[in-house]
Amino acid sequence: MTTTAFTLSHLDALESEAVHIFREVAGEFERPVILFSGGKDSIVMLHLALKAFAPAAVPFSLLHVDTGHNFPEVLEYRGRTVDRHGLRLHVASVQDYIDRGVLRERPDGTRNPLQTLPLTEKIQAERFDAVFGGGRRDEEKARAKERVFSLRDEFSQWDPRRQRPELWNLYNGRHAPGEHVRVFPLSNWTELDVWQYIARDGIELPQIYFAHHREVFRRGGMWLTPGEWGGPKDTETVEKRLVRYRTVGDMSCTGAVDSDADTIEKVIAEIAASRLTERGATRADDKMPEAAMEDRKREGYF
Amino acid sequence: MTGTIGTTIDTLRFATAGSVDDGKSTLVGRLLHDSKSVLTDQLAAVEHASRSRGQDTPDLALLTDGLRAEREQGITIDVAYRYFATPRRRFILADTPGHVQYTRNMVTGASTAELAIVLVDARNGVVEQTRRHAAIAALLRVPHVVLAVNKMDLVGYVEKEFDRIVEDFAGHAAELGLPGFTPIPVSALVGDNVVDRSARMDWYEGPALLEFLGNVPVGTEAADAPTRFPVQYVIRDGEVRYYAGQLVSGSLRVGDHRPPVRRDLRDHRHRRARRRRSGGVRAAVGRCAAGRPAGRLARRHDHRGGRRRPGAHPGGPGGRVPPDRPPAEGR
Repeated sequence: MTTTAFTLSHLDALESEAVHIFREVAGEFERPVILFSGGKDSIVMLHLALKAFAPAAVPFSLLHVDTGHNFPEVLEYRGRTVDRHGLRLHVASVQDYIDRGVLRERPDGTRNPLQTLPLTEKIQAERFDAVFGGGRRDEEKARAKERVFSLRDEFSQWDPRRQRPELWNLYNGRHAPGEHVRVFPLSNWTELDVWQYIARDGIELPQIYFAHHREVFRRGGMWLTPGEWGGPKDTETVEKRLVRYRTVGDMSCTGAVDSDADTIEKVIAEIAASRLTERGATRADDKMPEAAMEDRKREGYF
Repeated sequence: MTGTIGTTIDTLRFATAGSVDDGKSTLVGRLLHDSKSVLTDQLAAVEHASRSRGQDTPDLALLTDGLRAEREQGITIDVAYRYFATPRRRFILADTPGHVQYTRNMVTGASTAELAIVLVDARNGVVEQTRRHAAIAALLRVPHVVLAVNKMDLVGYVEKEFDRIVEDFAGHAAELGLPGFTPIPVSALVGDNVVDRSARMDWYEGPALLEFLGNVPVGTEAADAPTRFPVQYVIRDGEVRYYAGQLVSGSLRVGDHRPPVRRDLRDHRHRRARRRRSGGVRAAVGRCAAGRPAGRLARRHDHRGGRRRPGAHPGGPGGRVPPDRPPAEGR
């Protein structure tokens, strides 16, 4: 027997932690669901779930909160992924809520804040008791404070003062009827970890994450893609640029960055050298007052 | 991993502890700032917030005090996690609250830490909360403890002040059964001995804080401890069951035979650690060891009766493991 220590690489340690969390949830909850947007974090999350239960199937379904402003490449990816793994997909549609007059379009056209209501009502309607989110603590200061198992009350609200102790790898899934738990298996991952892991495991991503020529226009310091969602306005001019997306969300508020990183290696090099956070670089609506994310989380946002 | 950087990177999880106003959040901010882990937009946000409060210099504590109530009251209420890296090591930092009423949040942060930095204000020395946090570190068996004597700038960088506090703390540490600790004199506000060694304390010959964090051994538990593999979940694939979990001590190799710890399970045959490989998923951990997580290690069990029950594993987390249930939802 050897007495030397065997240390896991940082990616193995992160993977192991996430796999452990998926299995805990499978054991503790009745109706878990994975939030799946087709963004890189949710793709990595699904990949980890597949690993956690291989060779058996993933015992969860997927939920996409659809803002109606989707990148076609991402929707196509979503469909393919669901088919390939034989998963069940639930969709909560923001457009639907707007058509029914329950939600009103904001003057700036951004639909990110509108996602909360369809999300929480879907959770209630389907009686989901555990909801996996791809949120990472390195993204934002309020997220940095959240537990891996984060309790939500019957209105899906987060109360930072009610956070429970969470010791070692013991996760408390206890909740009253009507409450649910948001679970964040990627809590301890950074943007760079996610990319290194994607490279290591050869995970396929929607092409918009890599540099490509795209017609874009400038608004609020970011490059946005024109579309039916309401851009460009008369004063804004469209031009063709070499860009890629660092995050993928609602088209109206997710900006592309100038980039020639057309391979995963180049993307990793680019992120490692970047002096901006991914949200700072690409999300118009996150450039808000200090407590914006905390307030949204309190209301039930991701 | 062998990736773009080309060397194996390991992870140190560490926590800050200490009484309120001993400067934990400032130290964390300094560590992040001086190791160039604070990105431009984050720093701009902190500078903006500091100015709107009428402060001349950026208040680095605002980097981690992420809740509205924390910023309003200028205190840390809950643990904040931050991430930074050097070329060889990745750090997960838990910045924990100092107030006694938020001690449970400090415990949450310290429980996963392999190293705790206990901060002391050089002017006040060891206080009640210092001893409480040191006791918690001992209780949780955090392997490494650093005593960071902060605000050395306010005591004129005098060696005697430092020695006095170290001696005092050593007395308590011995009482609490802390295996040992590393004292470092720092000034988080100014940056002495945080990332770079300070020229103002030439009497101190040890490493700066980040230097120490970068070199302290991690995952050092011996691999020849008894093998303990608490079964977390049973994966059913047709007639076959796979016992899934993380190895908590000892080691396993692919193909190893291991009898269950519980006697009433020992009659079953065909126990074998199997390396799993399945469609589209990379091979599992072949060998793993000692106190480190080792997911994806599936244990195959051909017998149908061998179901895991709560509390089946004396070496594991006892009865809180959820009972074995069928997957919660069919596809």
